[in-house]
Amino acid sequence: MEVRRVLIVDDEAAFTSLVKLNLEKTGRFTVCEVNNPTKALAAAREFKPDITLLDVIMPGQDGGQVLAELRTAEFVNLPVIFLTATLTQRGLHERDDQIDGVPFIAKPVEPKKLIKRINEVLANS
Amino acid sequence: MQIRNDLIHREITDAVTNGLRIRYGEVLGALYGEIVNYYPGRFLEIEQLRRDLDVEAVPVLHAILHNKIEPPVLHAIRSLMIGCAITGDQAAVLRWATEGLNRSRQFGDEWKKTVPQWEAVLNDPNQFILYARQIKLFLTQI
Repeated sequence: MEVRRVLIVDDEAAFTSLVKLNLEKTGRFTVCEVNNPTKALAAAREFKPDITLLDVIMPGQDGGQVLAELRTAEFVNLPVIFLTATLTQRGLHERDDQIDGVPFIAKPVEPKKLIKRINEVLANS
Repeated sequence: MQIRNDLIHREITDAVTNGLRIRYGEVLGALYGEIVNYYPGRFLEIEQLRRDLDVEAVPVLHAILHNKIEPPVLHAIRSLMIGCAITGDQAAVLRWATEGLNRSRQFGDEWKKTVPQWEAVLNDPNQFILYARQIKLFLTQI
Protein backbone atom coordinates (compact mmCIF):
# COMPACT_ATOMS: atom_id res chain seq x y z
CA MET A 1 0.00 0.00 0.00
CA GLU A 2 1.26 3.45 -0.93
CA VAL A 3 2.22 5.63 2.03
CA ARG A 4 0.64 9.07 1.60
CA ARG A 5 2.38 12.24 2.68
CA VAL A 6 0.38 14.59 4.91
CA LEU A 7 1.46 18.13 5.73
CA ILE A 8 -0.29 19.54 8.79
CA VAL A 9 -0.10 23.29 9.46
CA ASP A 10 -1.43 24.30 12.87
CA ASP A 11 0.04 26.49 15.60
CA GLU A 12 -0.95 24.02 18.32
CA ALA A 13 2.04 21.68 18.59
CA ALA A 14 0.24 19.30 20.96
CA PHE A 15 -2.54 18.91 18.41
CA THR A 16 -0.26 18.31 15.42
CA SER A 17 1.78 15.76 17.40
CA LEU A 18 -1.39 13.87 18.25
CA VAL A 19 -2.56 13.88 14.65
CA LYS A 20 0.88 12.71 13.48
CA LEU A 21 0.84 9.89 16.04
CA ASN A 22 -2.63 8.75 15.04
CA LEU A 23 -2.01 8.89 11.31
CA GLU A 24 1.45 7.30 11.32
CA LYS A 25 0.49 4.38 13.52
CA THR A 26 -1.79 3.17 10.72
CA GLY A 27 1.32 2.68 8.58
CA ARG A 28 -0.49 4.41 5.69
CA PHE A 29 0.68 7.96 6.25
CA THR A 30 3.83 9.93 6.90
CA VAL A 31 3.25 13.33 8.46
CA CYS A 32 5.17 16.59 8.50
CA GLU A 33 4.16 19.05 11.24
CA VAL A 34 4.44 22.82 10.78
CA ASN A 35 3.54 24.98 13.77
CA ASN A 36 4.55 28.30 12.26
CA PRO A 37 2.30 29.12 9.27
CA THR A 38 4.91 31.41 7.70
CA LYS A 39 7.07 28.30 7.18
CA ALA A 40 4.36 26.26 5.48
CA LEU A 41 5.44 26.95 1.91
CA ALA A 42 9.09 26.07 2.57
CA ALA A 43 8.01 22.90 4.36
CA ALA A 44 5.72 21.95 1.47
CA ARG A 45 8.55 22.39 -1.02
CA GLU A 46 10.79 20.13 0.98
CA PHE A 47 8.21 17.53 2.03
CA LYS A 48 6.16 17.39 -1.20
CA PRO A 49 2.83 16.48 0.41
CA ASP A 50 -0.04 14.55 -1.17
CA ILE A 51 -2.50 16.47 1.00
CA THR A 52 -2.46 19.34 3.49
CA LEU A 53 -4.40 19.74 6.73
CA LEU A 54 -4.65 23.44 7.40
CA ASP A 55 -5.83 25.24 10.51
CA VAL A 56 -8.06 28.23 9.78
CA ILE A 57 -6.96 30.68 12.47
CA MET A 58 -3.32 30.94 13.47
CA PRO A 59 -1.20 33.82 14.79
CA GLY A 60 0.71 35.70 12.10
CA GLN A 61 -0.98 34.14 9.08
CA ASP A 62 -4.35 32.45 8.76
CA GLY A 63 -5.17 29.34 6.76
CA GLY A 64 -6.51 31.38 3.85
CA GLN A 65 -3.23 33.26 3.53
CA VAL A 66 -1.23 30.03 3.70
CA LEU A 67 -3.43 28.43 1.06
CA ALA A 68 -3.11 31.49 -1.20
CA GLU A 69 0.69 31.19 -0.91
CA LEU A 70 0.61 27.49 -1.75
CA ARG A 71 -1.74 28.05 -4.69
CA THR A 72 0.38 30.80 -6.21
CA ALA A 73 3.45 28.57 -5.90
CA GLU A 74 3.68 25.10 -7.42
CA PHE A 75 0.86 23.62 -5.30
CA VAL A 76 -2.11 24.70 -7.42
CA ASN A 77 -3.87 21.35 -7.16
CA LEU A 78 -2.73 20.21 -3.72
CA PRO A 79 -5.79 18.83 -1.89
CA VAL A 80 -6.55 20.68 1.34
CA ILE A 81 -8.71 19.94 4.34
CA PHE A 82 -9.35 22.85 6.69
CA LEU A 83 -9.36 22.25 10.43
CA THR A 84 -11.47 24.58 12.51
CA ALA A 85 -12.56 25.09 16.07
CA THR A 86 -14.73 28.07 15.13
CA LEU A 87 -17.66 25.87 14.15
CA THR A 88 -19.18 23.09 16.20
CA GLN A 89 -19.36 19.52 14.86
CA ARG A 90 -23.12 20.03 14.59
CA GLY A 91 -22.78 23.31 12.71
CA LEU A 92 -20.35 21.78 10.24
CA HIS A 93 -22.33 18.56 9.82
CA GLU A 94 -25.35 20.65 8.78
CA ARG A 95 -23.19 21.84 5.89
CA ASP A 96 -22.03 18.36 4.85
CA ASP A 97 -18.62 19.04 6.41
CA GLN A 98 -17.73 21.57 3.79
CA ILE A 99 -17.91 25.29 3.11
CA ASP A 100 -18.12 26.43 -0.46
CA GLY A 101 -17.05 22.97 -1.63
CA VAL A 102 -13.92 22.97 0.53
CA PRO A 103 -13.71 20.11 3.05
CA PHE A 104 -13.66 21.10 6.71
CA ILE A 105 -13.19 19.12 9.90
CA ALA A 106 -14.21 20.52 13.27
CA LYS A 107 -11.77 20.30 16.16
CA PRO A 108 -11.41 18.30 18.34
CA VAL A 109 -10.77 15.77 15.60
CA GLU A 110 -11.74 12.12 15.84
CA PRO A 111 -8.85 10.09 14.29
CA LYS A 112 -11.13 7.64 12.45
CA LYS A 113 -13.15 10.48 10.96
CA LEU A 114 -10.00 12.32 9.94
CA ILE A 115 -8.53 9.25 8.21
CA LYS A 116 -11.83 8.60 6.42
CA ARG A 117 -11.96 12.22 5.27
CA ILE A 118 -8.33 12.21 4.08
CA ASN A 119 -8.97 9.03 2.09
CA GLU A 120 -12.11 10.52 0.54
CA VAL A 121 -10.37 13.72 -0.49
CA LEU A 122 -7.34 11.85 -1.88
CA ALA A 123 -9.62 9.49 -3.82
CA ASN A 124 -11.41 12.45 -5.41
CA SER A 125 -8.29 14.44 -6.20
CA MET B 1 -16.49 53.16 47.45
CA GLN B 2 -19.11 50.39 47.63
CA ILE B 3 -21.90 52.96 47.99
CA ARG B 4 -20.58 54.84 44.97
CA ASN B 5 -20.42 51.64 42.92
CA ASP B 6 -23.97 50.73 43.97
CA LEU B 7 -25.13 54.17 42.90
CA ILE B 8 -23.44 53.91 39.55
CA HIS B 9 -24.89 50.43 39.05
CA ARG B 10 -28.40 51.76 39.86
CA GLU B 11 -27.95 54.65 37.46
CA ILE B 12 -26.78 52.35 34.67
CA THR B 13 -29.64 49.94 35.36
CA ASP B 14 -32.11 52.81 35.28
CA ALA B 15 -30.61 54.13 32.06
CA VAL B 16 -30.93 50.73 30.41
CA THR B 17 -34.40 49.84 31.70
CA ASN B 18 -36.18 53.19 31.57
CA GLY B 19 -34.09 54.91 28.99
CA LEU B 20 -32.56 52.71 26.37
CA ARG B 21 -34.94 49.77 26.53
CA ILE B 22 -38.27 51.62 26.85
CA ARG B 23 -37.64 54.88 25.05
CA TYR B 24 -35.04 53.79 22.56
CA GLY B 25 -35.71 50.07 22.32
CA GLU B 26 -35.34 49.85 18.59
CA VAL B 27 -32.12 51.82 18.63
CA LEU B 28 -30.69 49.63 21.37
CA GLY B 29 -32.00 46.59 19.59
CA ALA B 30 -30.33 47.63 16.38
CA LEU B 31 -27.07 48.12 18.21
CA TYR B 32 -27.06 44.82 20.03
CA GLY B 33 -28.96 43.01 17.32
CA GLU B 34 -26.05 43.63 15.01
CA ILE B 35 -23.59 42.31 17.56
CA VAL B 36 -25.25 39.45 19.36
CA ASN B 37 -28.74 39.07 17.89
CA TYR B 38 -30.48 40.62 20.87
CA TYR B 39 -33.79 42.32 20.20
CA PRO B 40 -36.02 44.18 22.67
CA GLY B 41 -38.82 42.00 23.94
CA ARG B 42 -37.04 38.78 23.10
CA PHE B 43 -34.21 39.29 25.55
CA LEU B 44 -30.96 37.47 25.00
CA GLU B 45 -31.17 33.70 24.75
CA ILE B 46 -27.75 32.16 25.23
CA GLU B 47 -28.56 28.90 23.46
CA GLN B 48 -29.92 30.83 20.50
CA LEU B 49 -26.82 33.02 20.57
CA ARG B 50 -24.60 29.90 20.41
CA ARG B 51 -26.54 28.65 17.38
CA ASP B 52 -26.33 32.10 15.79
CA LEU B 53 -22.56 32.21 16.32
CA ASP B 54 -22.26 28.91 14.46
CA VAL B 55 -24.22 30.35 11.55
CA GLU B 56 -22.45 33.70 11.52
CA ALA B 57 -19.00 32.08 11.52
CA VAL B 58 -19.67 30.49 8.12
CA PRO B 59 -19.36 33.60 5.90
CA VAL B 60 -16.25 34.60 7.85
CA LEU B 61 -14.68 31.18 7.26
CA HIS B 62 -15.69 31.50 3.62
CA ALA B 63 -13.88 34.86 3.42
CA ILE B 64 -10.80 33.48 5.15
CA LEU B 65 -10.47 30.43 2.94
CA HIS B 66 -10.72 32.60 -0.14
CA ASN B 67 -8.28 35.05 1.47
CA LYS B 68 -10.76 37.87 0.90
CA ILE B 69 -11.06 39.67 4.20
CA GLU B 70 -12.69 43.06 3.74
CA PRO B 71 -13.61 45.53 6.50
CA PRO B 72 -17.20 44.17 6.81
CA VAL B 73 -15.68 40.76 7.56
CA LEU B 74 -13.60 42.37 10.30
CA HIS B 75 -16.81 43.79 11.74
CA ALA B 76 -18.24 40.27 11.71
CA ILE B 77 -15.11 38.92 13.40
CA ARG B 78 -15.51 41.54 16.11
CA SER B 79 -19.18 40.64 16.57
CA LEU B 80 -18.28 36.94 16.82
CA MET B 81 -15.63 37.76 19.43
CA ILE B 82 -18.14 39.73 21.52
CA GLY B 83 -20.77 37.00 21.14
CA CYS B 84 -18.29 34.32 22.22
CA ALA B 85 -17.30 36.45 25.21
CA ILE B 86 -20.94 36.69 26.25
CA THR B 87 -21.17 32.90 26.14
CA GLY B 88 -17.95 32.75 28.21
CA ASP B 89 -16.00 30.80 25.57
CA GLN B 90 -12.46 32.02 26.20
CA ALA B 91 -10.82 29.82 23.54
CA ALA B 92 -13.17 31.20 20.89
CA VAL B 93 -12.55 34.77 22.02
CA LEU B 94 -8.81 34.19 21.62
CA ARG B 95 -9.27 32.68 18.16
CA TRP B 96 -11.33 35.60 16.85
CA ALA B 97 -9.02 38.15 18.48
CA THR B 98 -6.05 36.44 16.78
CA GLU B 99 -7.76 36.69 13.41
CA GLY B 100 -8.85 40.29 14.07
CA LEU B 101 -5.31 41.25 14.96
CA ASN B 102 -3.83 39.52 11.91
CA ARG B 103 -6.16 41.19 9.49
CA SER B 104 -6.62 44.63 11.05
CA ARG B 105 -2.92 45.21 10.43
CA GLN B 106 -3.55 44.96 6.70
CA PHE B 107 -6.13 47.72 6.39
CA GLY B 108 -6.09 51.50 6.55
CA ASP B 109 -5.45 53.69 9.56
CA GLU B 110 -8.89 53.24 11.09
CA TRP B 111 -8.43 49.50 11.42
CA LYS B 112 -4.74 49.77 12.33
CA LYS B 113 -5.86 51.87 15.31
CA THR B 114 -7.73 48.84 16.62
CA VAL B 115 -4.54 46.73 16.81
CA PRO B 116 -3.87 47.60 20.50
CA GLN B 117 -7.46 46.66 21.32
CA TRP B 118 -7.21 43.19 19.77
CA GLU B 119 -3.90 42.82 21.58
CA ALA B 120 -5.56 43.84 24.85
CA VAL B 121 -8.14 41.08 24.40
CA LEU B 122 -5.38 38.57 23.66
CA ASN B 123 -3.38 39.69 26.70
CA ASP B 124 -6.30 39.57 29.11
CA PRO B 125 -9.28 37.70 27.65
CA ASN B 126 -10.86 37.23 31.06
CA GLN B 127 -11.23 40.96 31.58
CA PHE B 128 -12.85 41.31 28.18
CA ILE B 129 -15.18 38.41 28.95
CA LEU B 130 -16.07 39.99 32.28
CA TYR B 131 -17.11 43.23 30.59
CA ALA B 132 -19.00 41.40 27.88
CA ARG B 133 -20.85 39.37 30.48
CA GLN B 134 -21.95 42.58 32.17
CA ILE B 135 -23.75 43.37 28.92
CA LYS B 136 -25.22 39.88 29.05
CA LEU B 137 -26.49 40.58 32.56
CA PHE B 138 -28.38 43.60 31.32
CA LEU B 139 -29.71 41.93 28.23
CA THR B 140 -30.91 38.76 29.93
CA GLN B 141 -32.11 39.88 33.33
CA ILE B 142 -33.18 43.50 33.31
